[in-house]
Amino acid sequence: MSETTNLHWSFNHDRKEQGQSPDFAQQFCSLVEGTLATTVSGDRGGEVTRYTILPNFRRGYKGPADGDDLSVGEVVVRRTVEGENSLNYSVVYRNAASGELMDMQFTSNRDAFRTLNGTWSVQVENCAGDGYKEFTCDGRLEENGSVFLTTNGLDLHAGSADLSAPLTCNWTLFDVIPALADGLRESREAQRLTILEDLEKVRNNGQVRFLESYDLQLDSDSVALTGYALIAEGMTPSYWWLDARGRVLIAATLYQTLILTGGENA
Amino acid sequence: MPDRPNIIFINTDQHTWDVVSAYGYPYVKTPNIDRIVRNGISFMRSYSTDPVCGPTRASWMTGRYTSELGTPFNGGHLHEDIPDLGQILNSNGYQAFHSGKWHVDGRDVRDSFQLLYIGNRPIGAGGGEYYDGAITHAAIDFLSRYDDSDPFLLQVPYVNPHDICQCEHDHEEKTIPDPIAQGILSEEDLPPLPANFHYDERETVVHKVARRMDECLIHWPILRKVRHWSEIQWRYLMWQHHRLVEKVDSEIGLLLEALDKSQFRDNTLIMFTMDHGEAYGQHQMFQKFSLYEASVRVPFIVASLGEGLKVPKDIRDETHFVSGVDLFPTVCDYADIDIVDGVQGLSLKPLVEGQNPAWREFAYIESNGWARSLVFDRYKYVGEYIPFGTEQDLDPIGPDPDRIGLEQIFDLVEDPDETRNLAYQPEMRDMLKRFRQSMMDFEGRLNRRRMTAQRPAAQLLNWGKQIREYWDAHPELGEMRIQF
Repeated sequence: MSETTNLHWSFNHDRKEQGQSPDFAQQFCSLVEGTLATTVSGDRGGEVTRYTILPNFRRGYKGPADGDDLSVGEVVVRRTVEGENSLNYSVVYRNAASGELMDMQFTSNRDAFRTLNGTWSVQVENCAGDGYKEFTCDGRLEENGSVFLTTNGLDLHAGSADLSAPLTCNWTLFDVIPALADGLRESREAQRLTILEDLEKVRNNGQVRFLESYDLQLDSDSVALTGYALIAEGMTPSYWWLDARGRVLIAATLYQTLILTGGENA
Repeated sequence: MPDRPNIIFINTDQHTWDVVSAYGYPYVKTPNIDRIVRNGISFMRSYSTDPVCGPTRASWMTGRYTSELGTPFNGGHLHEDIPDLGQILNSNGYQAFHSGKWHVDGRDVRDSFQLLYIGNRPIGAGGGEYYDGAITHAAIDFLSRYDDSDPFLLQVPYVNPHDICQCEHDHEEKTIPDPIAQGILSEEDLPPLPANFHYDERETVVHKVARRMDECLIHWPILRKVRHWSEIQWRYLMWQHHRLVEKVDSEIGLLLEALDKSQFRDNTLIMFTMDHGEAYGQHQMFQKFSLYEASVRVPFIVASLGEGLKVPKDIRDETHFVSGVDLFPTVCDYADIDIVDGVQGLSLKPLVEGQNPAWREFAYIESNGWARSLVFDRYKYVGEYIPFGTEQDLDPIGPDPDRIGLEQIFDLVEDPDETRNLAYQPEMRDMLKRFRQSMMDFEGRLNRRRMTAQRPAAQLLNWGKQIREYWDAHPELGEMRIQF
């Protein structure tokens, strides 16, 4: 835990000593308390979950566009059952700092790894107001692991995925890690994964493993969390925290902390 | 002039010079930067003009050194009358586009380039995780749609691996367990500690005040924590930096693929470099802001994926000194545009095409206002000027042999890691004298101008005052100065 708050170091971006405003810790706790006060669904198949994004920036971050809301966007993950063996995913990622709104559509096997199958598409709108307005691509995986993206008639080789490990999109980790959690915690062994980040970038040699258990102290409550860490080529560690209901309550990468803030049954 | 080539200028940010697979570094995978290396000529003795984001970029865009520009540190202010590359190209039959980080302090990118993308909340120092994907999207969108008959310059400055700064700032107000304590890596997963982790402490006063002492001018909140790091923490910093290099490498891969599959493949030059390095433990430094190789050395590559341009494949030039000031005249030379007065750089085009032009004897580098370095074939000289601590400091100093402070000389052949300062060895006196004279002669040809913008002027005065106070408080350092 940190010296200045009881937030775990993996998602503590409180900068009180440096006059941070808005206050990360206050907003983080407020969002978590809000989630605990409602009956946000779990993130098993057939449901929608929403995550609010808080920025991990220190001083130098431009700050929110207006008011005291530190949030820079949200992620909405929708799953729809497709027959007995597949799930359709629709992931919308909105980042007010980059200006991008990414809409990612893909299909996975209905297994613990949400293994990618079929083809996929990415549609991006950009609101930054300059020359770049949109980007669209369709993706496919070939048998040898080659990943291709087609955009405006250009067929781009995006890399070679190591298919000796399950290939999954980073946005299915909200489901994959809960599915693997018990086994990871008991075995203390790493599970190998290959990640297709944002359906565009191949991250080989991924490993997810149990990190530790920890009680998050809030004003009104204490929340028991179990943490998991993910590493891969081309990725700095990210940390995934599950609550007692098996939901990913918090996910933290180097620059953003995602907090479960909503959802409903589809 | 339809045969003028298109040019794509790609750069990474805070990327240590040798952390590229193609250059033999074993702890990172960079298949896409390697592709640029294989398709071009790498100038290996290439140096940043001033190893910080803003100053370097001002030099790239103008072909001049930072003491000439009003940009001796981040937050400077580029003199308004100095033309930049985008302006020159846009008024000479090219179309100049920008997608990515700008950070030329004092100038709006929209006054210079046709802007494809700079972020909704404009890119500041870091945030590659937010921005680099969008930078690629914008550049690919451009390459797949551009249909004008004019040749173009597409400038694509990526942010990563600059996000390593966040890894360092993360330690300021909390304690993060090392990765072995976390259980996410084993010691075997980590690269070894740099060979120059231990160093010769006879450094310049500018460096001590800016980077070493308590309450130092630059990133003291980080320094006070890393002083207590274990070797494992330092090695973990390296590991994280390398993952961020891989991250930006995959963006470059998509960009190269788009160029390769586009109609522009055979008539497009790629120029690739880094703005400065990341020290990650070398000399127990972090980030940049120093004159050691980890901070200042940055390969410069000229490449082409196709066969339509006269660019050699997979060549390393270990002979010619290249500088950040060379981007401007090189682009102008390829674009067949006369180089404007005042540009200090040299066009690399003759070297790329196998000619043997007269060339510079050394690379010249400035740092933190008062520090200087000249890198020669074998030896590297580092020196500093002593600030006045008064308003006189607003006029960039030098040449001024009477105000030289402490110095370093490294033998880059016998001691490439810069661990033994030879400047105080009696047998080096003649060499030291020659290096100083080279610096005086060179600086006499620069067009230095007074800092006039209010905020950077205040910072310059503050830094000058603090460095001067250190000198005044340590008279023994004055005794170390070598007088001729």
